[in-house]
Amino acid sequence: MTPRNYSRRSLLRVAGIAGGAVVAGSASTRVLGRPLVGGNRGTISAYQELPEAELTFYFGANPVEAETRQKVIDKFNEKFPQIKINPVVAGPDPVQELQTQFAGGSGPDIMMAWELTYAGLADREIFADLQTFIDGDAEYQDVVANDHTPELLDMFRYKDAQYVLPEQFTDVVLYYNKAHFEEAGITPPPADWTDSSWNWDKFLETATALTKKSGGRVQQFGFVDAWWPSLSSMVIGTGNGGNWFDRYVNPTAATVTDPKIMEALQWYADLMNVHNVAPNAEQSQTQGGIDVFLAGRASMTLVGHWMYPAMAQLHADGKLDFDIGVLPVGPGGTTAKTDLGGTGLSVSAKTSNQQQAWEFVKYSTGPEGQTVIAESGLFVPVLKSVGQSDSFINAHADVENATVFTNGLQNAVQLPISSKWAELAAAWDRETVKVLQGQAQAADVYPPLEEEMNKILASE
Amino acid sequence: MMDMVEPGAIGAVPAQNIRKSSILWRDVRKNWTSYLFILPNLIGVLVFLAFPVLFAFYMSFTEWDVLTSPKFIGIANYTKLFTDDNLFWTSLWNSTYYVLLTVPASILAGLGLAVAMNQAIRGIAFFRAALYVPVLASAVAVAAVWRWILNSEYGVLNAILEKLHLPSTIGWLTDPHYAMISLAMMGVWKSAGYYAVILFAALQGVPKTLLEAAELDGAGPWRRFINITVPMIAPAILFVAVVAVIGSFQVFDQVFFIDRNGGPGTSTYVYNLHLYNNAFSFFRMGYASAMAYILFAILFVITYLQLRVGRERASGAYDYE
Repeated sequence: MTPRNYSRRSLLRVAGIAGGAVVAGSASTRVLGRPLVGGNRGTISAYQELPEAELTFYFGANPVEAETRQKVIDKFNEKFPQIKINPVVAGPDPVQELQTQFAGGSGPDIMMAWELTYAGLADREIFADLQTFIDGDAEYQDVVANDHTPELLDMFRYKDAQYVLPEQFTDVVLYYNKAHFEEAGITPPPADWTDSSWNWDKFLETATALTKKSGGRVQQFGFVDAWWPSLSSMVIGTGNGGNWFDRYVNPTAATVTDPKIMEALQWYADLMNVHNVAPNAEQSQTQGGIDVFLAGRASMTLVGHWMYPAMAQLHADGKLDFDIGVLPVGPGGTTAKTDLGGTGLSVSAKTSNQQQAWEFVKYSTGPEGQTVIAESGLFVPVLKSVGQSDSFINAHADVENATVFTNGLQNAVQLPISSKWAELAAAWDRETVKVLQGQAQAADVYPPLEEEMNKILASE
Repeated sequence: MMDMVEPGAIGAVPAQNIRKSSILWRDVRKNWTSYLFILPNLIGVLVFLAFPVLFAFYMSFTEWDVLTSPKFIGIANYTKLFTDDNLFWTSLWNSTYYVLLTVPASILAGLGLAVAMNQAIRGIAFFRAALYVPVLASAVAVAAVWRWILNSEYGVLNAILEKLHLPSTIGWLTDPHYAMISLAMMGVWKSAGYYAVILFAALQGVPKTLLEAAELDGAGPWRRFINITVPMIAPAILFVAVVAVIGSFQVFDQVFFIDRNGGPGTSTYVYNLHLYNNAFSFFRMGYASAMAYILFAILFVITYLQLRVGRERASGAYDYE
């Protein structure tokens, strides 16, 4: 923990005590509220006097994100000084950590939930159904009905329960190094998701022109994947008009042998192994994809908004001049696609302070919290009113094309939501990596893979 | 101790049982302070070793995800492993391959180091300590260092091969044919020091008189080593072989920190990685427990055979004494 963070937290504690005193002083003039679950419509819970509580809030964040996260907590505490939030930053395997913590009876009260993995945890009865709270809260019902993004709400709706409320939309986009493009005199990727001129051929041509070799070694790559190459190739596949599952919430069958998916995977792998405009397995040993891009050794990279704060920091320090564009569209597709990814917040089914935890989730996913998020540039907010607001655009002044992030929503294909994801991913990633590393062809390894995945989906 | 064996008043209860338990109880009462001293350890062993071992055996017949209550499913986990899990066989073979690569190599390396440690040269104490450092180093650090050594573009191993005009573009960790060999190199490097210390202790116990007698009879250094030293330290070599097989079969951490998916492909997907994934990624504790018991059975049989064959061979060493 940096001294700066620490002092801020101590400051917060003092502010909390002062705030608490004010509230206590005025308590006699107010009707003492009770935690209401499924109760009075029209009760404005923000004014309820909830009992004091100390809550653990578990979330994943890189250091820059974690710092901004605290801002939301600080703002929340201005309103609810009696609820102390203890942040806990997740390690590399959040599902495993949560599972272990809950098995040991010490799970957090509030949790960040990830689209790919929450279903497995929901099946293990870790999350409370937030629908109960929404039903008892007229104010928030309005937000859900009019301001939330239905696609994201649905993504976190599993087996008829709203286990998670979306908090951030995390589509992937194409970041590019502006200086590299200017130097080479090449037109950068477009900012319009429907621009079909930005196709695979154009992408390869651009990446080839930006790749610089000398003495048998590549000095600068046209492209590098900074996300999860296996998953990137699937997203590229959906931009080729393909689908890798029959449906994405609770899929019943894998369809990875869809020729459009296999074609995309092979094209993506060839960028590395045949054309070598992106680092192959050997060239990736030394530096991770994101570091290659940040060090100026690659001109384009595919990654989500979560890397924006770090890049903006480098931009402010004069070390990186970047902007964002859309992903390329495949020959089988009509427009480019990104992934409908996101994370949300959930309340533990086991906490004894559910009402207080709900207030925090409600605050963070509601207009106030989302505005703080938009202003900080931490996430792409999920509320329509906030996403289209000036505050989001202003917070992304480091790039010209900030709307690429928000407009991705209309051109996004969902990620699979299945309680079997861990097992599906293990099999699918194993075989996909073989193709990406040039050890196998998609057409050879995907048919048996599809059988294996379907067996996993069919198992009870 | 003589007074312990004392036929007491015995009722209808089988004589042997009551005698055993009353002897134990009497011993406890007589030496209660000693028992009090070992009590913390005893509790530790019971709670953290005996209980989990037995509990895992029970779990191997259940389906359990840690959070919801376990479901008894008989031998279904075992039948699934043997009949319906390709990765079980893949990972079992990978671990076997690792054992075949590392065990002979680390015994030879350990023996070589032990002989080197046994030399009377200046500063030998330093070298003895230095050789043990890899054993103490954490697997994470070892993996990080070796990842750089084995880097195919900038790694020191390929650089040395280049200087020697040998093939120097080997993808030590990226080529599925070499990945396991690379892990075996790491394994030997990390464990040889431990075996060396055990063998070194045995070497120091070889009677000088025997070696001198052989020398007087005209035996050269190599002959003395093969015909006297090796037979004399055979029990230690046997011990090292047993420990090495058990240790290598359980290889996990180096693999996990080099590539937690056991890649490239499934080339380094070892048995314990499959066990770990089932337990902590898929939360199939029952299935993972069944895997643990199968590994236990395999190691039990191998160790039993090793000891049987080894004892016969090594018995010559005891004859002298």
